[in-house]
Amino acid sequence: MTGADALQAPPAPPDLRAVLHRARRRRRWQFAALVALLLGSSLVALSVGPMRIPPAEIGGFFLSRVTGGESSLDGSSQIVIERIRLPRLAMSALVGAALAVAGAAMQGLFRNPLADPGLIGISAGAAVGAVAVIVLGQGFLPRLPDWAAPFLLAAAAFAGCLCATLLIYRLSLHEGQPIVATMLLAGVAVNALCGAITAFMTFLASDQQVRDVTFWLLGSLGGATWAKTGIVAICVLPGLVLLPRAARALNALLLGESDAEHLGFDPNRTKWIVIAASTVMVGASVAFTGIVAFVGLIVPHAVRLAAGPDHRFLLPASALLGAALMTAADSLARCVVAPAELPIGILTSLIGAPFFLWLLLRAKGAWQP
Amino acid sequence: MRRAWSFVVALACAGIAQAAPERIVSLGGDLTEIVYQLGKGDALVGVDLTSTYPEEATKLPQVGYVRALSAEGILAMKPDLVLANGDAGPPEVLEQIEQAGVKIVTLPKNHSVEGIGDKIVAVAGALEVPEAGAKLAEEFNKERAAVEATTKTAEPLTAVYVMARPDGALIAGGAGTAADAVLRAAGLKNVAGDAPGYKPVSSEALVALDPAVIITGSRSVEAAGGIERFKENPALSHTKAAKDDRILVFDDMYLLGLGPRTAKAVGELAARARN
Repeated sequence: MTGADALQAPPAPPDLRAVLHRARRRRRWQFAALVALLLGSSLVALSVGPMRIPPAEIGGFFLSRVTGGESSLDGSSQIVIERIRLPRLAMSALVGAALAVAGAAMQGLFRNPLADPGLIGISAGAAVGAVAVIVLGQGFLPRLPDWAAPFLLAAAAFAGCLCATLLIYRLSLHEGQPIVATMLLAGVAVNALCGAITAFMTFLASDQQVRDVTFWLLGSLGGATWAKTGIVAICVLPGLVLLPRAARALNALLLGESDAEHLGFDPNRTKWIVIAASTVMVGASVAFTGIVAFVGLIVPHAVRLAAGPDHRFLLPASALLGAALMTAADSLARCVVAPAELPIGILTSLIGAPFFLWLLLRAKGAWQP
Repeated sequence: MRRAWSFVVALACAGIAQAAPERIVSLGGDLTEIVYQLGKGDALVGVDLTSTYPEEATKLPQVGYVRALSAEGILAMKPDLVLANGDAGPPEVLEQIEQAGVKIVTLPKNHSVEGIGDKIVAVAGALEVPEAGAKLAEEFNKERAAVEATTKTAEPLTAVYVMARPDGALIAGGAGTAADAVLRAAGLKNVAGDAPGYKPVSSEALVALDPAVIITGSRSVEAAGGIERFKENPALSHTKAAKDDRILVFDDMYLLGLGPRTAKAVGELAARARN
């Protein structure tokens, strides 16, 4: 009889609509909090630095720019705001968003929590290009026109990352279809190959070039100018719009490729979009700022821990959190050892790692890939 | 009348401001040394990581590694003159500093002992103390000529400059390095002078090159854990230099800084190599 009792009294089904409604409201709050975080960190990034400029005067300066009036700031402070802090802020927000969104999409695509843009050769390929210019560039750098010389390193890094990614993608094709598992392994091999080339060029390098390479590998926003920020924006903004549109397909892919196909998504198209967009976004970012560790790997996990694995929320939220983390890290980078400057890669890890561990310990057991 | 006076005072102030920079940021150990030698050390408000001599320089605000400078950091020192050697960068940062209205004097890279005199004159020009510069450069050139006179007649001696990494691997100073320039100025033949730059050298190669004199920096000796341990390095212990006890240790910046002290360092090197 006890069995029949159990059959008679099934647990009451939760009111699905109420649950969904609650979840949607919570997400709206979380999204608003992330926007506020990014705005806050941007304001901090504008108002701190080794040059002491009162925040009120900075506000007045922008107001005077809008209204066309006079500003109380002296000339060199205006230069610092307009040509140093503002392009850096824009650059760090773009790069942070690009790294985090690409990382989130990549982890979804590979269904692997350790995936990040570096996996498909972006960082290692860019490093080959950049190190080649640092070590071998002395011969032809002086012959380039003045406007082109500062962009040579970025162009080489971007070309290196395109080549590495394209190679990995081609290697993973089986009868015209990219196989994700092959792509992972091909990525490991191509990364090792690029690492060896970089190491060999480091061997050829002079002492000073070795130091230049080390600094490049730690990342910096110190050389950010409006021209560079503009190029990065052109490469990053389309990806920031495009990737979230693949969110539903990425959600379906979490169930497996054949299930996703039955649900009406084309897995190969999704793979292509995610890889192409990530390569262009992250490639351009890395080309101008060097390698910034950690953001692409950890920011998506942090968002997942707080809000679950739904890509429709995960992708835009990762972009916001990545941008906020990067701008905050850059503010610290120029303040902690002023008047010198710390490489930003050190700080993204230094801020990101404890934050992530805190989230991890808080949500122990709730972790989802 | 009063207005006329204030105009004169303003003119005089402008004249003084132009005559002597009062807040200098020096990017390069050699440049910092020259600034101090010219008696303008008090005007320095910031230096880079390679500025380790004289000791006062190490107490100044540190603007970081010369190839990874921060524009805002340097502007925050409110300098009226930035002295940069050819390594200073990245170029965007120098451009931003210039845009903010700060005068930058860049001295081209020149790894030679002969070029030091010109460097002194150029720095003195930027500091608006040309007479002191001419005097210091003349002293330098005289000292260098005296060393050259003694080494010219002496028989050529083979030598090599090595740095030791903590794991014992050795790096030799090849063509185009400050080490090569200093060895040649001291009348020594650099056995590692065929390849450019600082390059790792294998123990075997060093034994085969068999230099009569081996020169190293005090930092390398410290890294090896003392001079006795440094000499035990198998690559070094089988050379002629080790048998004749001609492994010479110099302070790194003193020997290779290519600043005003270099003439003295070269003279000391020439003397100790042939004592």
